[in-house]
Parts: sequence; C-alpha cells; structure tokens
Amino acid sequence: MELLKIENLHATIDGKEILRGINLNINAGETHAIMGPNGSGKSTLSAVLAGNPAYTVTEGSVRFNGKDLLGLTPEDRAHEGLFLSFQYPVEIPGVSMTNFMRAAVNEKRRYQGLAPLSSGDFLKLMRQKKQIIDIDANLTNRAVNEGFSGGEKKKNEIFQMAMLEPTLRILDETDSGLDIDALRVCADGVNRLKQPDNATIVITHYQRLLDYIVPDFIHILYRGRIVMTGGKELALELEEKGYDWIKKQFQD
Amino acid sequence: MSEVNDNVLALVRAHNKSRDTRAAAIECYERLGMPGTDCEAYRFTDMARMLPVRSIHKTAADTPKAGADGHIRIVDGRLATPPEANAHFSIAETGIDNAPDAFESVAPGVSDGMVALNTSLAEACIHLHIKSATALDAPLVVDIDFTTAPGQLVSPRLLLTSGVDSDARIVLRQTSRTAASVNMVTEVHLAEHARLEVVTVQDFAPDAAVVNGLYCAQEADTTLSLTLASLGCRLTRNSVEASFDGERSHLDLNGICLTQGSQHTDNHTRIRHLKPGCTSGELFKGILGGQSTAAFTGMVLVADNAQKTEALQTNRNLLLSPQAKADTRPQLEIYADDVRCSHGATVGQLDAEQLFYMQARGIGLDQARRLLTEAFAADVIERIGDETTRATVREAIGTRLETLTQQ
Ligand SMILES: Nc1ncnc2c1ncn2[C@@H]1O[C@H](COP(=O)(O)OP(=O)(O)O)[C@@H](O)[C@H]1O
Ligand SMILES: [Mg+2]
Repeated sequence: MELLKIENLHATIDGKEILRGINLNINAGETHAIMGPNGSGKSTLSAVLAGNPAYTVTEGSVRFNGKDLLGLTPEDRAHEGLFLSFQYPVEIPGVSMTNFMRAAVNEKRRYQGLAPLSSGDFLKLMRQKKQIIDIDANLTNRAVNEGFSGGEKKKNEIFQMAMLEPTLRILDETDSGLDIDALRVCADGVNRLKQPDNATIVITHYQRLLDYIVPDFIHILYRGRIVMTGGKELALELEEKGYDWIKKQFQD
Repeated sequence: MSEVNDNVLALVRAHNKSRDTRAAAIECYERLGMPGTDCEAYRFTDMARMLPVRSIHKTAADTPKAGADGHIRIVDGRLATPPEANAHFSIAETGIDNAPDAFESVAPGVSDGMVALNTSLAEACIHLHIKSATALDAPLVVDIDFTTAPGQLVSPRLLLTSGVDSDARIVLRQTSRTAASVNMVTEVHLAEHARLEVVTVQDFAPDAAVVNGLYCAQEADTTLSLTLASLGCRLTRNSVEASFDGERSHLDLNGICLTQGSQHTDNHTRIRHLKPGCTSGELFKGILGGQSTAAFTGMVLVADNAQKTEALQTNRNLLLSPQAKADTRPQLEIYADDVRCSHGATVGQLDAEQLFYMQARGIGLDQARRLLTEAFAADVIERIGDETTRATVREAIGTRLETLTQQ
C-alpha cells in the first residue's frame, strides 16, 4: 500500500531554493534511508514534510494516506500519522514533558473522535512507553528537552514516537551526537515499534546507523535532488568511496 | 486635555466641607492636579485622559454585607461587617481625620497627585493590623469589590500594618463587574522582624479604569513579598513604592500583567534602599495581545550610606500580536559604592521553533501558544509563597490566557 508519494517537490527558504525536484514513493512496511553530504537538503526535506512554516513549497505535490499533505497544518499532519524526529530537538523551558505529551496525545485522540485519556490511563501509557526506550524516569518530570544531554534528547524523540504511534516515521540524524549504547537503544526502539502498516525514513550522514536500522532502499540526496537510489549495499559503497565520489559525478 | 476631567477640583471642593487632613490633601491636589504625561512618574499614562471622573462616589450610610466565605470584604471603599475579634489580627474602619498614626506616614501625598486626590476623597480608612508575635497559617483574603457607575470616582483607602515579629499572608482581590473608576491607595508598614506577603489580584470589568497605589515601608529585619497579578482592563496603573527604613531587610516585588484589545497597563515601581544591608529582587512580566500597551518603570535608589545593598531587577515582555507595544525603563540611582545591582529588560515574541516543535507533535497552534505563554508567566506565579494563593492566581491567569492567546 502506498503511504507517501512525493512528486517533483521544490522548496525555498528565505528565497533560496533548497529542494529542486524530489521524487520518492514509500509503501507501508518499507524502510528508506536518505544519505547525502552536509547541506544537501536532507533536513529541509523532513521539515517541509512536517510542515515547518519557515519553508515555502514552490512546486510539486505530496500525497500521504491518499491526502494532500501540503494542504494540512503541521498538527494535522501529525494527527494523520506523520512523525519527525528532529535533528535538533527544541528545548521548551517551563513546559513539562508530561503536560506536553498529554496535550499531544489528547489532541490526536480528539482528531480521531476519541475522548481524552483519563489522568490515570495517560500516566500508565507514559510508564509503559518509557520502558520501550529505557528513558530515565526523571526526564518526564522535567521541562521538554531543557538541559537534556544530546543522547537524552534523541531518546526523548523516540519516546515521543512510541507515545504517538505514527505510520510514517522520519528520523533526521538520530545517530548524530550519540554514543554506541544510546544509538543501540534508539535503534532498538525504532525496530520494536515497526509495524506492517508503518514506514520509516532514516536520514543519516553515516553508514553506522544502518547496521541497526536496516533499510530496504537507500537514496542519495545531493543539491536538492535524489541523484542515486539503490539497496542497502549502496551505503557500503558510499562508506568506501566517500561523498566526493557523488560530488564529482553530480557537480551540475 | 480632557473636558470630562476639567472640573475635578471643583468636585473635590464641593465634596468636602472642612477637616484638617482633608484640607491639607486638597491643598496638595490643588497644587499637583491630575498628572499628565508631562509628569515624569506618569510619562506613559495620561491620567487626565485615561481615568474618567464625572462625579465623586458617595458611600451609602449602611454598612455593606459581608459574604459567607469568611473573607474580609470592602465594597466601594467601605468595610463590610468585619469578622469577629481575633487573636491574630484586627480590622477596623475609621474616618480620615481620626485614622491611626500610621495613616499617611508612607504614601507620598505631597508629591503625587493621585495620592493627594485619594486622601481628599476617601471616606474611610480601613486598617488591617497583624498583631505582634503571631503567625497566621491561612492567608487573609480581602475582597475589594467595586459596583460603582462608570465615571464615578471611588477612592478606597487601606492601611496594612504588621506588628513586631508577625508572619502573615494577605490576598487583595480587586474586582468589579462595572466599568468603575478607581483610585485606591494602600499603605503597608512592617515593624521589626515582621514577615508579610501581599498578593494583589486585579480582575476588573474590561472597561474599568484603575489607579492602584501601594506604598510600603519596612523597618529592620523584615521580609516583604509583593505580587501584583493584573488581568487587564482599560486602564491599570500600579504605583508601587517600597522604602527600607531599617537594616537587613528583604523585598520581593513581582508582577505579571495581561493586556488585550486596546488596554493599557502601567507598572511604576520605586524601591528606596535608604539603609545598609538590604536586598531587593524585582521581577515583572507583561503579556500583551491586540493593540494593547504596557509600560514598566523600575526606579531603584541606593542612598550613599546604604552599603551592602543588593538590588536585582528584571522586566520581560511577551508580545502576542505585532500591534502590541511594551515600554520598559529601568532607572537606577546609586550613591553607595559597595553594592550589587543589576537590571535587564526584554521585549520579544513567541519562539517560532518551539511553536513548530509542538505543532509537529500534534498540538494545535492555539494550544501551543497558550502552553508557551503559561510557561512564560510561570516563574512570577512560582514566587508566590502561599500555595493556595498561587493556585488561584495560576488559574485566573490560565483562564484569561485562553482568550488572549487565540489568533
Ligand atoms: N534560512 C536559510 N537561508 C538560506 N539558506 C538556508 C537557510 N537555512 C538553511 N539553508 C541552507 O539550506 C541547505 C540545506 O540545509 P539542510 O537541509 O539542513 O541540509 P542537510 O540536512 O542535508 O545537512 C544548506 O545549504 C543551508 O545552508
Ligand atoms: Mg540535517
């Protein structure tokens, strides 16, 4: 079943074109990796899919669950099952993780026509999901990401993903800034939450993460376009030859 | 200026027959008049234009009825039947000319037109005294209600005194359902070793115009915590002054104001470090929507003998709309050399990245704005020492923010 269909997507920020015609189809059950040198537009693609208002889509279309994704507000994209694990999770001093998650879970339930969770049921759900990602119990008593270490922030993203059970999981550089143990915990969480009806986009600079989250397809993004698509062996080739190999081939 | 207010002086004269305190106050008002923006302390608020005075409220002969909630109640400047005599505090109403000694000892009637006007017109001095060497567990709630018609100036006068080594919390809940014109003065005096918290909640009808003077004096070894939670009405002017008249005392002065539509709030604060070894911490925050305006003035005076003074001041403003405007003005006058003083002021908007992060988790824009705005207000509320009062204030602000944060 086709979950996401991106056609000829162009997007700009502050008048500068970053995405220059992206095409990508993703079916339920699949894992796609997007690799590419720094600055090639990987985070831009994830931000545009999630609906960050800082970016302007100038051309193209995106269908998600058969709906026009670009016509939805960021919150409705989340309610429809899209989840972005941020490369740089945002700190929100003064807003507790509990209040933040309660609002997120209940707004999604409202969208689905369900009653809000009772306080007891909500806390039970939090406890249950915390186990999946082995997150420090104290983190959920603190303000959202405030004072979290790099690893804690990334774990917290996966924890939020566990709470919201999305159908399309976009992981933007989840591996950056993680030591090998934290990387394994995050990857395990992602794998355990994998379902036949959901799909994953893993954005990464390095091959390392793909040992843990094994992709069905690898796409190389360079200068706002997907310039190469292959199986998981493409990551090894890239590891061996380096990004210069891509840069030379697709200079312009 | 305003045609409406040109005849206030005539009204004041007609209202008063004789009496010394009054006569002196009227003389002062005659000299000072209703302050306009040419008056430095009222630079951001033209009283003559903003405070409608068409007539002077004359209180009823009957004593207003007390509520069943055990609160002390003041209606249109008059004390309702007070609670029974109490081991911890006393409350009484007197006329202006036989008011207790502490009356007029703190408020600057000779230099501030609004104080002089209040003294000229107040029909009673309501005196709440916390007895020496007592500690009150529960906060004393004083409901200060206004029922007066628009343009009818009402001038309540309150005196709060804390006895030696007393410990108390007082909540002043100012409310109106009418577009009242209010010019209230409260004097606060702390005797040695007293600890007092005063939380003022201003919850007026949207068209009310309120001038609220809070004048405090602290003897040695005292701790005073003042919080002003102004939920917003057409005009809110808070004039807060606190003087250290003894050594080793501490003042916390906190405020949070919400404004929307075309409302205006002017918090004018002045802390006078006159004695050595005193500390003051000041935190004021403004949350502004619509085309509303808010001004903050933070005057801090450190006299030449007031060594080892510590005075920290912060003012932060959150503009929820591009048309809202905040003015902030720190004014530090420091004549001593061994002091630690700091001030900081910011005017900003909600953070776009934080908003997007919340939206990306499915939290709608209105709710995201509300959560972030509540977070902005939180540290002022957290500074309220009394837990019940803190919860009440948090809820009142939360309710008001629901409408304020909607786009
Ligand atoms: N506000 C901005 N104005 C102009 N260019 C920007 C802005 N923000 C990001 N960019 C540019 O967009 C490009 C893509 O960035 P990004 O999507 O973060 O790349 P990646 O995630 O692949 O490293 C970079 O060249 C970056 O400099
Ligand atoms: Mg990136």
